Amino acid sequence: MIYLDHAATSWPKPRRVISEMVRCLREWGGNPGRGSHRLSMAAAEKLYECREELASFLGSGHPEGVILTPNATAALNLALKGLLQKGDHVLCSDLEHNAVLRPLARLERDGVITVDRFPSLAGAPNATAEEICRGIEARLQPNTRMVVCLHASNVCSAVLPAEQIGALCRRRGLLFLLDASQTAGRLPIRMNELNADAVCLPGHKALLGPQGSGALVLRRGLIPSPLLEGGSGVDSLSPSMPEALPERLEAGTAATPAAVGLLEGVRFVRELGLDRIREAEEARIEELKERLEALPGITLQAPHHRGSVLSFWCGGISSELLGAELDRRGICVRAGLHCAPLAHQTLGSPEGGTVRVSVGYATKRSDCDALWRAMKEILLV
Amino acid sequence: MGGSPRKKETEKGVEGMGPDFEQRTCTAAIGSVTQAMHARRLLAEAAVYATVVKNDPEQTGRGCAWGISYPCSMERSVREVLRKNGVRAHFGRGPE
Repeated sequence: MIYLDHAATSWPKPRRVISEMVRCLREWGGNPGRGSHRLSMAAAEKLYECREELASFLGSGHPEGVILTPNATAALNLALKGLLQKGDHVLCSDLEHNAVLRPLARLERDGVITVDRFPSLAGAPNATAEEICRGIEARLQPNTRMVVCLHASNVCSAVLPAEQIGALCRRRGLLFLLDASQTAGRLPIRMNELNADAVCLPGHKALLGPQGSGALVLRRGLIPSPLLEGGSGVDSLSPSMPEALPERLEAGTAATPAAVGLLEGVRFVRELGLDRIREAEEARIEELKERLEALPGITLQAPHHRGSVLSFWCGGISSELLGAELDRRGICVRAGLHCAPLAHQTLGSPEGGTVRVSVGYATKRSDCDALWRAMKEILLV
Repeated sequence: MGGSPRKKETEKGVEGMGPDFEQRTCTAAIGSVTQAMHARRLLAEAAVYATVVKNDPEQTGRGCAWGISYPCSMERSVREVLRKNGVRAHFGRGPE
């Protein structure tokens, strides 16, 4: 079996991620931040280690501002709904995933905010950061409060110029929320250098943690309103959530095994090195591009971008059918719209979307060779 | 005024410090278990050994609360480290 769907979730996980999760269930099984007995304290200690590791990895220097969530979508919902207020105007890119678009649409429908999109220029091979920033500037309104955008697309490998967008936001006094779903564990993210106020990330993609792990990482001093209320282990007599982070935003029992797996995944990625991971992934995709491009009927989606994701389609064959044919040959890819219909519209994909190949740290050259051979077989080349 | 003495750790004192040295521990209330752990890390960097403790809800008047326990003799350092790092702590006389 060949797994080429790392943009959805990474697999397999490093062995040490799995063994630490098992150890957690066996040895640190208390409810963190609730009791003061040893199992509860051991679990709380592990959660704190996970926050420390993420704060250090992202350069926030603020472990209490690391809010553990079940995934990036939950983190984005918390940031958007917890920070935006009535009358705010928000800008997002034309590549966004539904994890950003749907919460924004909900807030817009409810009459809380207005939203505009700025062009990512992802389809243009020579687009510059300055041009993208000019597109943002041109759409600013007096009540614009936030720019939210993905760091990299999950449909093609386009990367938005987060550093320049962050600098623009800082100059204009806007909040900058970065969706790092496709880049956390692949590209360096230093919140202070990017001027990012908040970063949302999944733990289960390039950070190699388990599904059920994710985080909203806040800069010091930024405190969204809670979306959930309930037990927090603090100030139990108060009818309101506590003021202090992270407990203010983490009602209910935390997923300690998921956090432990994420902690170990981040450590693994840091030991391996982001440069090494990125270079290997890009090399796989570049080789594949050359080979697929030569096959008749194949169109690559925005091939000028370098990264770990490559989308393509084949005239006359639906992407879902192609995906199913590849699966029959033991190759796992993702077909369809990838929960990002706006990105497909922006990039000019066919109605049925594309077949997406996405590689990870463990993807071998032979995996991509197998995909190419399978495609030749399907296309009868 | 210092933090509240929590308990007498030993009647014999601390090893190597002589029999007259009484190692008492004091506690400071800190918002949450996460903040208490953060405080403990900061203190460790300043060579102050502290442990995270859960405070008695009856004493806090706010329900469950957390804090740190540290040698009373280190109170001055504890206050200074927490103040420098912006950690709000309650030493029995009001938040600092």
